[in-house]
Amino acid sequence: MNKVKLLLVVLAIAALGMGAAYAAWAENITIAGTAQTGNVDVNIRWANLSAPDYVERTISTISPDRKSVSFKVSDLYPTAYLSSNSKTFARLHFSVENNGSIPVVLDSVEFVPDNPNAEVWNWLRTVVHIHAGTPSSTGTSLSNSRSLTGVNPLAGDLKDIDKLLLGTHPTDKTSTLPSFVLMPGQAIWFGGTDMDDEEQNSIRFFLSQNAPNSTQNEEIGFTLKFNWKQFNK
Amino acid sequence: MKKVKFIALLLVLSLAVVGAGYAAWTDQTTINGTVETGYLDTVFTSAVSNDAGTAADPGQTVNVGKTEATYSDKEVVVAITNAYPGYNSKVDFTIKNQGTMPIKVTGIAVVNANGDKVDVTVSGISVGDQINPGATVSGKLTNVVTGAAEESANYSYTATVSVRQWNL
Repeated sequence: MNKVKLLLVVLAIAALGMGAAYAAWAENITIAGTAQTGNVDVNIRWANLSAPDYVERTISTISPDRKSVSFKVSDLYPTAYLSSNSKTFARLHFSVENNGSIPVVLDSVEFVPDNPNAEVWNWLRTVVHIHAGTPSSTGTSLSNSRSLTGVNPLAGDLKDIDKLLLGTHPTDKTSTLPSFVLMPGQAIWFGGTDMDDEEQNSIRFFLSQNAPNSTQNEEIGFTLKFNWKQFNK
Repeated sequence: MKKVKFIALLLVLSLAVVGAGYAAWTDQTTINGTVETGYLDTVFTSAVSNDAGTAADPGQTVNVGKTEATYSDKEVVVAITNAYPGYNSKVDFTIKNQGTMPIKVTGIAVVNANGDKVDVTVSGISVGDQINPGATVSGKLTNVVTGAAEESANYSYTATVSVRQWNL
């Protein structure tokens, strides 16, 4: 009987001990966090094309996603390039805007000629001006602009335009486009600071005045693709 | 008759003696006790972000993302906006024991369903840390947006610090 009583007492004490452990005072404090990510969205806002006399030019509308623009120049002929005379070169003029919320930098440039073995590629030259700044609300002018090619424009063969833009061309490494951070709301204009001024700078190209007869009646095309990436990658 | 008187006298005396017994003096002593319990009161007393959005992002050269931190007694609210893969920020916070007894940290739990996209860690405080009444400890919340994060997305998480009276 005494053993039974002792056991009951031990059980009672154990139960009390358990109760005390569960009753320990406790509380929580909390950190509640949210993270909203931005977006990368680089678009072509407008594009213009001009050409020498007697040269037909066609520029399509910008694609619905505003990521590409195509153009066609027909009946191009050799000219003696003169930077001050817009009749001596064809001129592609377009604006690339950062409509996202994250700054971007140029990742790569892809230049793909349609007919790379055509003789005419050896005689096509290019002169490239690039400006960056803040476009007006209508997109027709650029403020706070600065050149991304230094004092002089980039110059070389059109087939090497990707190297010119990336600053990896053997003889012209002056492009600062690869290191330029395009902030949200800013634009890079392959051209000057006025969308409608045909005398403004741009991606100019022309057939060298030394182009031989063998370059006649050739048809070429190319795709120039700019790949952008978030600024910190 | 004398015997009768004698007996009566004895009775009177006996009754007198009995009466003296009932009239004995008495006294009482009382203990009046009050027990007042203590309390737990663990609060945040500061929360400061290292990227309030007024300068370049941490480790970057441009101002893009932002981490805002506000706090009340029991909660810190962290809001990161316009983040991108590689964005990282820190929130330094302070916890104070405003209660009456020491407390011990018993748990630090991060509930983050998108941990592969936003990596969240708490450092500076550890399970087992004791905080005495009136004392403070400092912790750090680190957020890192990973390459798996999607554009224009919203992610959320909670980090809970659990404390308990120190002796149990």
